[in-house]
Amino acid sequence: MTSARARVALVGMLVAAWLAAAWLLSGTSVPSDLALPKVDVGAVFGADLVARAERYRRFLYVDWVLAEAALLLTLAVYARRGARLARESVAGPIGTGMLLGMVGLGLAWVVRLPFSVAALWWERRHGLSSRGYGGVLVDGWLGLAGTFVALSLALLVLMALARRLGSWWWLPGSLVLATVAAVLVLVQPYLTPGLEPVGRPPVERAYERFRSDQGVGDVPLRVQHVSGDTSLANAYAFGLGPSRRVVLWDTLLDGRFTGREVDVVLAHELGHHSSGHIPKAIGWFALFALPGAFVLMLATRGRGGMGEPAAVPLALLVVAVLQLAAAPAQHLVSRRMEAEADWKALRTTRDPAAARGLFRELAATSLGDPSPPGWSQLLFGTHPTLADRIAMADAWEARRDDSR
Amino acid sequence: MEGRTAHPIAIRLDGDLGRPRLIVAFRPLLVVPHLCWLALWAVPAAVVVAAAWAAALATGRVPGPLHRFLASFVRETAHVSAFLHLVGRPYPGFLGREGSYPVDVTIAPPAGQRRLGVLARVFLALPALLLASAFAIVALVAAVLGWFAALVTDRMPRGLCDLGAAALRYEAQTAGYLLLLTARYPDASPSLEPPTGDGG
Repeated sequence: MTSARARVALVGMLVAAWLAAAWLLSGTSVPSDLALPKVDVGAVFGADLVARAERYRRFLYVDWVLAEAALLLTLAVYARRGARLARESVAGPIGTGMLLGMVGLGLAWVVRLPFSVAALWWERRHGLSSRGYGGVLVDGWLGLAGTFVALSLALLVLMALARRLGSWWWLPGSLVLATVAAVLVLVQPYLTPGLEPVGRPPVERAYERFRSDQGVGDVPLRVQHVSGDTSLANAYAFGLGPSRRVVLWDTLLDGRFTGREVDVVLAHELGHHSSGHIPKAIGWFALFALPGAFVLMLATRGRGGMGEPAAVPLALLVVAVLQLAAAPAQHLVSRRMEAEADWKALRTTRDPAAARGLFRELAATSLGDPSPPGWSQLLFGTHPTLADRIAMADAWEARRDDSR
Repeated sequence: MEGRTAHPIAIRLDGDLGRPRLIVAFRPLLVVPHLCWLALWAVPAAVVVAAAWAAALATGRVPGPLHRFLASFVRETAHVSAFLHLVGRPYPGFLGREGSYPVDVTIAPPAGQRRLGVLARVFLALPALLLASAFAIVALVAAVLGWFAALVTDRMPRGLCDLGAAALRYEAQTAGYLLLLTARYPDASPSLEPPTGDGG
């Protein structure tokens, strides 16, 4: 077999394995024949709220588009000129690559800062945030330190592999990146400060009941105090294996949401754990990393490959473009998982009225557009629209009634 | 300094005062990977210094390999500190090799040390550690002033650079004394001189 044929065979096998893995990861317990009924958005959410939410979101869309344009422009200029900074380093090729990577990310942060401040101004104006402007600066600056360490680690691994394996680095490189991502997901709950026991017996009792119903092991429930910074309500599931947690923001427990609505949130977050969404998300990360690393290898060949520090500024630009290009597919995956968690919450609580109340209240408290335009859902939609989530509650109720 | 032998731990400057703004702006964050690396390196360094202490108590001299290991650690710390405090221009390496950074710490080879001095080294170093912490504040103030100056002018003012270098030298000498690299007490005089002899 010639080397070209062997290469084609290898690529064919990789594509087949990729598709098989994607099919396995796409599995969901939401019935495939579930038809969502149409929801009259104006009647359910109120025309005034819908109009306010649309106005609120429109500003954030424009802010995001401008921020992304400024970011890509800056990274494009940096890709052309950044390699000159290599002479400011005596840290060897990999250390110099780290320097160039960190400076590039630092520039990206500075360029996006005015847009972050504008978004905060808009949120404060609508009473959704009480964070100070100094907080954006200080938190962002401190957050950069963690980002720099993660970037340096990634560059250390990728550049060392590229210097050793040449143009084949992308294959083990993407697997190493996925492993690092899994380790970060595992340790993240231990590094997140300020997670405390809920201390509300009714909430804790309901949580234990749902945990047992969904067959989830020992996963602690915690509360995070964010009400000093924001009035937005949120909850999340994170961690892996022994570090798994469900976290409620204290804004969910401030009286705006009824106990039954909070129950839906608890069952939804447990649904993420019982459906294995976090390991699946790591699997998806690995699947996206594989072609991403391949494209990165191709793009940086002209600069001597990823083993050379001069390739790092270009690599930053390529990664930014790839992230943008992959966002719709990643959001599609996320929406499927969120829909499955909603479905599990309905099956666990058997309370579609509470689910409808929760989604209406979320629209009111976060000014979420209940039925955003399709392009917005494609670019930003990590969850089904609030209208679709209410439609799912209706569909679940209709099925229950039919089966009686 | 006529009539005095030079300290076995000395600092050398290349005199380059240019500091590109882009590297200046993010300088406090750019050293974070180095700080993580130094934190990891400190673990074996603690083990090695314990071994060096036992060996010096028994033989009156720190074995060469242990001395070299600890010298690299002190040099790497000084290189990173020089970059952070804008005393040095380029981004430093990770191995602390002698001659690898324009603001370099030269450390004389191991020499004989009095056992009593080795035994009581931690207590003897306390006054120097106190003074070193004062020097650290001086270096920090010089760095903050220099950071603003370099952001505007692309250059580190010579006076601030030399002040930072003097502080770094005292800190390196204190670390060297504490880690048994030399028996000579840190020298607080502001003059910068090349290393000669063992000074032990």
